[in-house]
Amino acid sequence: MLDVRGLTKKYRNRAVVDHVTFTVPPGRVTGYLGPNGSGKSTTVKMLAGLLPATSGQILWDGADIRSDLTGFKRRLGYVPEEAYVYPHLTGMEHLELIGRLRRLPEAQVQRKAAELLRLLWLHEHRFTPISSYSKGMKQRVLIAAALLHDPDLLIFDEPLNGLDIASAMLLHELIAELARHGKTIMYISHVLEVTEKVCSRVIMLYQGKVVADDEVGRLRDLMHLPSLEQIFRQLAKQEDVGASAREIVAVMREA
Amino acid sequence: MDCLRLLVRHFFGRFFDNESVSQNGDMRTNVVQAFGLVATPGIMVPFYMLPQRARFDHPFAYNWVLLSDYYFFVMFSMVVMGFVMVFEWDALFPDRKDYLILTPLPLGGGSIFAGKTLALVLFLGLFAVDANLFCTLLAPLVTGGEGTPAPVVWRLIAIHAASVVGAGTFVALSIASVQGVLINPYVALNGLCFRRDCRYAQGVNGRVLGLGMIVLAWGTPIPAQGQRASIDAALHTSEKPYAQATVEATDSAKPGQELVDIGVVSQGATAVAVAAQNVKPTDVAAQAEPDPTAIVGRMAENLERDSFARQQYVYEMSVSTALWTSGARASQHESRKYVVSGSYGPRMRVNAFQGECRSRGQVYPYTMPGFRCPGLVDFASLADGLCDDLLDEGKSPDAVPYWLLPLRPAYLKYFHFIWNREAVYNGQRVYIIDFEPARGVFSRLPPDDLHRDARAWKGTLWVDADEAQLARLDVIRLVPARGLFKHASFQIDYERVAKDVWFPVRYCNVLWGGNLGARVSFESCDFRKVDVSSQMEYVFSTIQYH
Repeated sequence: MLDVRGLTKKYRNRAVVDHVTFTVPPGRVTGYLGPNGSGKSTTVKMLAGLLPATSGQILWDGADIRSDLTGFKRRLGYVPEEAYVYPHLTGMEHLELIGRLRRLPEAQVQRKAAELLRLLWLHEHRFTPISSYSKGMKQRVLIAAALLHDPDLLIFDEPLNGLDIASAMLLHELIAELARHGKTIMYISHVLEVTEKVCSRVIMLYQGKVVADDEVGRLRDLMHLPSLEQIFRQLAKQEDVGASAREIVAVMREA
Repeated sequence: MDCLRLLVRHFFGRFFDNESVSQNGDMRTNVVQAFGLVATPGIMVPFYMLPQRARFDHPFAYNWVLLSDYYFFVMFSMVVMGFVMVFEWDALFPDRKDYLILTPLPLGGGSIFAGKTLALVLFLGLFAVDANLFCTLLAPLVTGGEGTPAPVVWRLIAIHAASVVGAGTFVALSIASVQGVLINPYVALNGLCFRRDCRYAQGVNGRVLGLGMIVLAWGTPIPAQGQRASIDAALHTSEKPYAQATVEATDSAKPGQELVDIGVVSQGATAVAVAAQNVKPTDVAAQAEPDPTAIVGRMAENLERDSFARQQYVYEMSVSTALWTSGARASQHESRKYVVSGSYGPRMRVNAFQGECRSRGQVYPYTMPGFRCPGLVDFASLADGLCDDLLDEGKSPDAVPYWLLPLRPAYLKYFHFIWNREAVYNGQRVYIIDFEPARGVFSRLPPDDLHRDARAWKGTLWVDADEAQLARLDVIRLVPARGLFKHASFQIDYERVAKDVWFPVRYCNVLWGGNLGARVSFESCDFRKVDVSSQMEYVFSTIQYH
């Protein structure tokens, strides 16, 4: 179980993540929502060990991850928001590199990498340099790399970037299946319809603070709103987007 | 495979995946092509040096002439390593891609940085070896020439390797440090500024290296010549061919005498000039110092007085003259053999002549004096003039021109003599005396005064202790001369032929200025005293008068 307590990140004394506290239980998909600039990715980077926290604690199975960061990373699968891959490597080589750096047995790396690429519809392109991959293909390589070592904690940061419909559906099914296998899953997105379908529980972040943390159904009941989108709009104090759209068109048409 | 090795291999591969090196993804081809290009000068230049080296009388003769050539290799190594660093600028430190891909992996804190550093060292090492391997092996062989002892060649190879690798490493680290210095303040302030200003720094580095390439192509002799003059002035040492020095030192060593002062002096950054001194202190070293001015005075008198005695000899003289431009772009050399009789009148006879001109990749052999080599100054008249100076009795009574040898009795007052030590040279007891222009000599003379040239020398004399004869003279010009060749140095070895008859048996004069160098040398041998007897017969016939 992932337990985040009072996590804070400040840049030049400005808190972009402000005393965030939440728990991600195993066997369920927890959504982490928020508008642009609310601190989602910063939180995730702290969870993945990419950024140090200014204050607060991240506990994995009750132990602070800083006490054994390498051990924590061994159990973490992370699909980053940006599809950063080495373009000179092929899909297969990328997975081999990640598997070897995770010290997996060589035979296991070969077998799993080939299978994952096949299952993610990249088998034909496994020996093609990633520089020639599309954005969706790169994203699938990253998903395969995150699953290669059978992690206990999976963090998907905007995993649908560039994925086509079929791949997105496959990913949703995959996430649900992983949850059924008891994995702890954190799903970060701003696509609310998808999050509503995939996640059983959501944490909403606004201006670096948690504004809601509950089951999707309970949130709907509590706020008497029919959809996650409307709850989000309410909590995140979104402006009247219809009025904003009309203003944009008016500015555009100005002489 | 452990993680560090894997990371090193990975980062090493990334050096070939660089947008600066290749925009279209064909990076491996480009880098391999670069490898080929970089290796070529290291192979070609030593062979290009061959014609020059072939003119030397013995291995390592006048090593400092080699300085300009060796500056090329040092400079080339610096430029290559600099360009590699500039082109790999973005890959010198772990980048954003490495950060996002590798940081979530269970790797030790320092392993990513260590892997990157080792890969960079490996990559630079490959280029360093590629750029310098062939010249490191070939240049010392060409320089030494035939007869160079193997340990000396190995030592030269080691010195050459250390020099070029050291120079390249210096530039590589300098450029890495520029980025390192930029990273710390900029990242703390603003990453965008860092990326923008990094481009400026990369551009500036590239331009500096471009300037280095221009210097490489045209300017290498300039610092070499300047450095040579300063080194000589500073060290105040004499040069002696390594092999010759070693042999002489060994020959003159006596049982029970400790052999000292035999050393190898490496000169400047190129560290290629090997000079050894073949002198040993004797038991009389502790005695009171003789008066060096008096010794030189006696020596100068003898030098002139015995001019007549030397004229009674016939001998063979092999004169070699050479002229070249820096970087061996053009060169011309001639060798002549004379039979010299010292008496007045037509006294020289050319026995043999051979000449060769190399210019713009062409070789022109010739067998008659007067050939005009394209790309060079009028060497024909220059060589003839130099030879005439050597052999014209009026100008050079002992085959060393008056204008060159400053130690005539009338000129001694312009020099200050300093006692150095007593030693054994060529099996003879000698006084070693240093000399330099007397205080105020130059300040009293206007720059265009003709006598100024004759007084602008500094050097060392070896004076035979028994006969007060000049045994050896090493001299270098202190101030630039007027004319084509601004700088000059020469060395003369004398040998005793008979009592009070000493001949210069080896002479080498090297002149240089701008991008032009010249060498005049001779060796004399087979000295025979002429026994002239004449018989006059008068036949008186009967005169009949009618």
